[in-house]
Amino acid sequence: MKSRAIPILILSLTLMLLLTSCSGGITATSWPGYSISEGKVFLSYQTGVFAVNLSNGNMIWKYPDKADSQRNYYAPPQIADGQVLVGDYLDALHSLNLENGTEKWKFDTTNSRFISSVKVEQDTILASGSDGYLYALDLQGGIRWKFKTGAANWAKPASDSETVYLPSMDHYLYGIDLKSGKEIWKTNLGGAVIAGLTLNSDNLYVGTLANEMLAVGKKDGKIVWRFGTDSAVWAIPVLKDGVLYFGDKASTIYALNADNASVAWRLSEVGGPIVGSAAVIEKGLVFPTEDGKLVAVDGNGQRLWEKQINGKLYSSLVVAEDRIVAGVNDGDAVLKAFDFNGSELWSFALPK
Amino acid sequence: MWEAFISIFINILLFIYQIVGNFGVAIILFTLLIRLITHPLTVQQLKGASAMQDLQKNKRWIDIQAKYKNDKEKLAQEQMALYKELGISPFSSCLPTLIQFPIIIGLYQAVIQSLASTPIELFRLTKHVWGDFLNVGALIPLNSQFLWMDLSQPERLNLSFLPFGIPVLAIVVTVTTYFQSKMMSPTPAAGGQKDQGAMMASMMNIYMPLLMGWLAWSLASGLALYFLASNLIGILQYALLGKLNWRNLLPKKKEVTVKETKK
Repeated sequence: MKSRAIPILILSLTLMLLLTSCSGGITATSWPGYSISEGKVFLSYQTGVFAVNLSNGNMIWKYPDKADSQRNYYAPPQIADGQVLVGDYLDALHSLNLENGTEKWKFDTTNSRFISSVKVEQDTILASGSDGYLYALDLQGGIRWKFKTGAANWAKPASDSETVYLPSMDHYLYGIDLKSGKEIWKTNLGGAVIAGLTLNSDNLYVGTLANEMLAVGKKDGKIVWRFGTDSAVWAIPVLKDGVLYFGDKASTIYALNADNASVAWRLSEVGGPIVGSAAVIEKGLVFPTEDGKLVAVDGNGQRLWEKQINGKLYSSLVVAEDRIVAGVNDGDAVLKAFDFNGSELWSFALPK
Repeated sequence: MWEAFISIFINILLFIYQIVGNFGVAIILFTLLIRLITHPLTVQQLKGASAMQDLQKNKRWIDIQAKYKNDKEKLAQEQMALYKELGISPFSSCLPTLIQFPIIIGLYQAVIQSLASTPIELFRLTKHVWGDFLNVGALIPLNSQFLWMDLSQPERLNLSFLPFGIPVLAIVVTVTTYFQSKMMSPTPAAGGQKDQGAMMASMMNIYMPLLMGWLAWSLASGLALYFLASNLIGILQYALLGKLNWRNLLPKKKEVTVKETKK
């Protein structure tokens, strides 16, 4: 009996350790979310939201003062009406004072994680919830309406003055009336949308996990064209001078004519999978790759430069003033800033 | 190597999901499948354990214990000689458990990674999926609803007349783990003194159900469902092999010592 009990006890304890160590996976993790406004980078990462000086990478403020290990922040903060609007990965949307990071109000849901940045259209805050709702709030956090989709909503909604466009994980793209929250049209895209879409005066452009980029009419939701990619499209495409630029999980960069999806150029195997959106710089675009490369290309698909950094790049790149800001996973910093030639200007690591 | 091992589990789990269209049912079927595959190991483990138990009642074994109780080295030599003579491997009950161990961890990892609830978790999941085998575009989003549960979140049953949610799965996992460990323990010899091992096993019968209950309470309910399915299938498996000790569930009768009195 004794000879059996001891190995069982040891195995059980090891199993417990392994199982409980895996439970870290239950506390949600993701890549850094950030945006830039008025010379500050607003960063969501792990248990806090940070304001960082864009010129030198120094921290200006941090929210909350005392971290709650259950409440993580990864959705990019949105700046509007003097507020920093940011959803958490537990159940709430927060409004923070732009200057000092103190909380102004909080909108609680039962269990909705906020994966993407909110969109502010006129005086309405539009927030995609992982509980399947799109929440429309006033600028004081009061709810105006909510709209239910068939699955979690991770993508950032887009809008014009009358209509909200919401791509969902349920494979549908919804056109919703901004004032009433009623559905105008919906279109099956054939695959889930993770990040969001870009738009011009006529069309919406959206990539899906079903290895496609699609153009959809804004008025009626009719599919204008669809283009097959090598792999899943995770990022929001960048629209510049009538050309759509985006990368896919197979590490291919595409430049498509936005009118008819004809290929202007494509560049294969630029590095690791491309998850984040490109940044537009004066001479072209810069793409982030999962294996930690910044790849700069010109408008004709010629490589300008590459920069290997310590860490992984999943977040979309953001350009402000004369610098590119990148969010980093598994590296020596969470944020890094570069000039338009790829030289590092500063890095920001979380305060200990 | 380990990641490739996990990938196999994830693809099988998602393949089952693709067929049945329900992640809860997929977890139950996947657990059943793994239990069926590892069934020969379980049988071998039980045979080994049974042989070791029988050996401890063997007169020669008892004699050796008594004779060499003060000479550990000689005791070990004699024990090994007896093992060899009777064709018993002392590791025959532990080895199958050791082999099953990475399978249990792999199963656990497959379930937890498939319940991706954030973009980075989903991205990592898609890297595991074999594109030629499964259609990621059609698979995602995984429907994590099962009965009243969201399998990616800890389970609570909310009733309108109660101000709190009832952790039904955690309770059921605790109870079934307790039943399982009690029914799978060998019945202690009547009147026999509890040795250190028996006491440890007895402690484990209390400790393990509480630990599993706590894990089921705090982790995603998909994992709790896996714990429950694993317990029930384990009990069924032992029952089919005729190894369940139902008597262990009954309250023990107090031992009455009758002292002989000299007239």
